[in-house]
Amino acid sequence: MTFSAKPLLLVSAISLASLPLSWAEDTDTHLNNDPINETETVADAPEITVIATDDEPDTDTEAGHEKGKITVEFSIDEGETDSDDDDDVKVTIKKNGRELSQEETDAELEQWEQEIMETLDGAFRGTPRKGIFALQQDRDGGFAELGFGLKYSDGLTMMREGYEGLEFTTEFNIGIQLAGLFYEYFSASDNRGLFGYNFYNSDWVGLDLIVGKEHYDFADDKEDKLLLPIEVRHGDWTGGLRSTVYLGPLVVQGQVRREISDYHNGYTASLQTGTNIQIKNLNIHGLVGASYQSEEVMDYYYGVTAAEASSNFAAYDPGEDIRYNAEIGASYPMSKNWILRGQVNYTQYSDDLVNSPFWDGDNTEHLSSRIMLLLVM
Amino acid sequence: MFENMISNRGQLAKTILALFLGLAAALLDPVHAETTAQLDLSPERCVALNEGQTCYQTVLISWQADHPADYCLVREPQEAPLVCWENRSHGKAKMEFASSETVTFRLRLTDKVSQRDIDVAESAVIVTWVYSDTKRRRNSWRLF
Repeated sequence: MTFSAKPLLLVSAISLASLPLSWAEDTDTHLNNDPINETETVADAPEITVIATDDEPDTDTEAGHEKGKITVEFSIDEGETDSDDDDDVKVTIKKNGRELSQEETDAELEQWEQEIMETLDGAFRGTPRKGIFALQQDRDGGFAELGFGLKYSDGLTMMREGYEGLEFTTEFNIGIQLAGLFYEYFSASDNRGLFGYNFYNSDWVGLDLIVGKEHYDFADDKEDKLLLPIEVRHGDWTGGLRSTVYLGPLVVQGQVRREISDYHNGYTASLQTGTNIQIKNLNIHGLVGASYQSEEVMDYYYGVTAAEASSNFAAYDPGEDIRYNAEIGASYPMSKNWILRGQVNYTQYSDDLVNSPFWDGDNTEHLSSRIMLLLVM
Repeated sequence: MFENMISNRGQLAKTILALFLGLAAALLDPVHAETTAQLDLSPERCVALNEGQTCYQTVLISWQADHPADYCLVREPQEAPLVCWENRSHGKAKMEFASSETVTFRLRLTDKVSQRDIDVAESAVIVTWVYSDTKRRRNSWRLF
């Protein structure tokens, strides 16, 4: 391609309103100039509605409209061979008819670039890097929760574990992290205590190496006459990878774990996805997911060997298990340390699981709910 | 030049009188005198669940000053008043507060004569949260 010796004017008169590149909605402040009658009660007083804005007032907006346009000119110099000191593309900015100096042009371009990046970041993120989107490396710390409340289950589950009906319950949760190493435990969760290391983290993805128990000991109570003939099933230690992906308002979490304590050498996997909405200070969330347990895991915990078979427990050889779950919950901050939290959980178990002699329930569909008052420390 | 101005007794007396009247006017002018006022917001704290979330709270505003004048409530850093009261010494209002950060409000006295605005009291609604970024892990079994 040949250019004329004179710098070629490629683009001229790109008019830009000097509005900041922000997708934040303009917010109005409702001004009420009427005096309030001093004898009126508060309820009768005019109500002020203040719509939140975290942005600085845009004092340049009006001026920008009035003063008009910014002209940007790009010119390409068909000069000699490239060198570090020779810019092929020259940018000239004219503001209100005045051509900006090189330093002012550089500053202007840098500001535009920053505004564009912030806009893109805000657009895809939905929320800037605050709250749940804050960077992982800034998250060293921890919390503990003590809770009490009521829970309800419409049917039994695993023998010696499940419950049915309405019960008073307590809850204990803890999470702690230091230099990427973490421990978390949620007593109401199917997942037991978990040790881990967050080895990769970006705006979109968090990757953790995890180690923890997935199942409790079973048939280990020597006072339990019914289960005495059954060989003890030990709680298994499993290790694997957990990934949490943040896609705008959607969170997707998956994990794959293999047993490392050499009891059954099986593996498990799960995938969960959910989202959260805020209505005033109430936070409502919903999630759906699926979990998988390999045949080795099923055999070890839910199978009955020929040697164990009796009139109480028929021999049983289950296949692999896939279960589906859904959850809807709400959390409301009552104070800086107290939360009211309620949730409803639905689980659809596989026939291979429900048909186990060690499974007390006979329904594949299971509904449970709880409402808790949690003290957060 | 100053000596020339007060070269005779008559001029001197007039100058002293003018200075005295000016001083008296300034002292008697309630706007220029020091104004004492109090601005109360209730509640003063708004609690959101997670750090960075917008916090919502109905806030009752009440203020009292030691003399009637024109007052406005201003939310920092905005300059436009949210609500104004004319020739009042106290007032009340209700506000639907929503912000992800602590916000300071000021009671502003407007001097009609000089057209000057003087901030005579201030108070803040402190935004706080249950789970700070350091409390809650981003990747966790409990996603929400």
